Amino acid sequence: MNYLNELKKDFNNFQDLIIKEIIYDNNIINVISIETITTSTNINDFILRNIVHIKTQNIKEYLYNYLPCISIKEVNNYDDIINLLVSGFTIILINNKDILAIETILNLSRGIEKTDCEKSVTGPKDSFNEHFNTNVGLIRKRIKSNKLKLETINIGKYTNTKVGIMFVENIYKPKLKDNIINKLQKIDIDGIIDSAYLKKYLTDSKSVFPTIKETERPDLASQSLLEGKIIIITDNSPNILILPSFFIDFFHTSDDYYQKHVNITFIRIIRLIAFLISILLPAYYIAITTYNVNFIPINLLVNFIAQRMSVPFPSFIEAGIMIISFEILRESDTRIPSTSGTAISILGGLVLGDAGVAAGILSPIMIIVIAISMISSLIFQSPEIINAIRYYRFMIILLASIFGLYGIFLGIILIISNLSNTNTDEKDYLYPFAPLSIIGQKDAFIKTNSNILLRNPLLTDNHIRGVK
Amino acid sequence: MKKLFLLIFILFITGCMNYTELNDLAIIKSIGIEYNHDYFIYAEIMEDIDKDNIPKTKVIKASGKNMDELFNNIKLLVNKEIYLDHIDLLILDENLNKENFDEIIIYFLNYQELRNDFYTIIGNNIENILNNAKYDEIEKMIINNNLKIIKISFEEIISKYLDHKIFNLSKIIYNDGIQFDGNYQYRNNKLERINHEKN
Repeated sequence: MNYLNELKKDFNNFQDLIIKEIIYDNNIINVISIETITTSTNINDFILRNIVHIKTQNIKEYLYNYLPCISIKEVNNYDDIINLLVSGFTIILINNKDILAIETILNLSRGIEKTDCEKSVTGPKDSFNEHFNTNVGLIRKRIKSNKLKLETINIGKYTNTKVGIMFVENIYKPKLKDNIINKLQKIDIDGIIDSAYLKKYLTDSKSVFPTIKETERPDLASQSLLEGKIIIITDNSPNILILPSFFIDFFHTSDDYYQKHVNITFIRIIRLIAFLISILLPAYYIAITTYNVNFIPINLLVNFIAQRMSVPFPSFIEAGIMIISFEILRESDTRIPSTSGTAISILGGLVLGDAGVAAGILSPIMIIVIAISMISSLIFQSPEIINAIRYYRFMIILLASIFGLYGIFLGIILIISNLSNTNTDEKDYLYPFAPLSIIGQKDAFIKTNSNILLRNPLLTDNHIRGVK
Repeated sequence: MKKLFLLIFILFITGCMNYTELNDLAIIKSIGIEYNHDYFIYAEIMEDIDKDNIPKTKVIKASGKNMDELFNNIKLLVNKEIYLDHIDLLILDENLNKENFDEIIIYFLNYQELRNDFYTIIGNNIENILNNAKYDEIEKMIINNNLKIIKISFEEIISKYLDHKIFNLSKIIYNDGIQFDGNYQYRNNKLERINHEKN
């Protein structure tokens, strides 16, 4: 078939397509590429410069063996031509019969930058970016072993995104990887824009708590690989997915392994306290001041009465107003351009602080309670956990304003039953608490300094670290 | 669908029975009871808190034929719900006899949200005492060991009264300042004065 005419017809209204025709001794060589995704200097230097030196009639053999390009392949059918062209390859058509494809992809991504959302005090500060090869390279330079494997699969009808799955061969469980590949192959979607699109297809659980962890730090990804987890890298996305993730993983950061174990125990307990405060504190305050007034000592009670004298609303509506204003403030903080950032934050502080109290709409104690609760929830890095905390906080406030302290305990039972019901890839979410394992407690909330470190037995059969 | 409907239905039938607003509570700190053909009660109610964190209180007087009517009349005067959980002190008149004691003890035993661990003393001209005492002054005098005031709680009085045992109480008067005035003992169905040394 006449490849050139078919190409011209299919790529109608495609102004970036460049076709260069070279005539040598009654042979027509066409060099075809798309201008915006190929590096023209590469094409000029390595292809066009060497086509000039052709001396034989067997052009295809000559070009295949003597062009200084490391990734050059032969193409046989027309669909492959189109797929390779739009991925950034250069096609050489020889006499409309033989086809060669050479890789000349333009690197359109930013360089390796500092981490934006997950900061670390000590420890490496580089982060993933949107280029697939850079991300894989950042992991390979940390785990220098031939047991670190990579499998790729293309997903998306229009986007044809490359998705890579990495694992360490002696440590992983093959059944988990086969499950993941099966699920990914069944995806039928127009396009994958970000790695978060894949999260919906990879989990079965309908719980509010997240079961897949996203990160932009290579050191966290390498630590997870050495524990037996599997990571998924998506082209055009700076976040990679780590599965399976347990509940305790969201309380750990990669910084925990760079400092002394006593200090880390302290900080992990503070994270647990912050989690409990951010869910339970507003509801506890509402229950104490409306239903169970006997808990407050007398001087504090008179203080609360004096503060609530000017407020016309009941506690539940006051808490609702405060929470909604805080959420609006937080959301607008992420969207505002940096030029007008400080003015808006001052305005927010004034409105929610002094002006609300002076106008008689809010009471100071409610501002303190809601502010502490909101700030405690920001101690976690993953936005999914912050959303789950917000959901449960509101549900417990509702229960507390109807039933009092009894409602808070009902809410706690509901949360625990929801947590125990989630499973990540058929493993229990609450390991090492729900199937209680004393050895697993050595790295849960309390970090010990043991010499023999063990891997998670749910994830791998190869328990002891340092053993291949 | 049925489960959701049932859940929402249960949420609405509880009725919010125990819901109280903080501003609708009258927190009572001390009570004084005397009997003169009718019961008289003097209740010290906490109002506000000052700049130096010293609370302000006011004294309300009411009368009635029995204890229920007495507390109802206070409620009508103050227009708030009575909150007896923080009582610190109970002042009794020295002329109370057996029937009065019976009625007071039965009322306080049956009251639901009351802890009977407040101090009890005897006083004369209770309105004068409560109006002129500073905040917490009487309680501090009771706790002070040097003054040898008998420190007895109402719970002990109830248990000794029901076992027909005798118990001692101290008396205070107001005479340009709160002063200690001697001890009394409950025997022969009324309160009798005793000397210091016999104690």
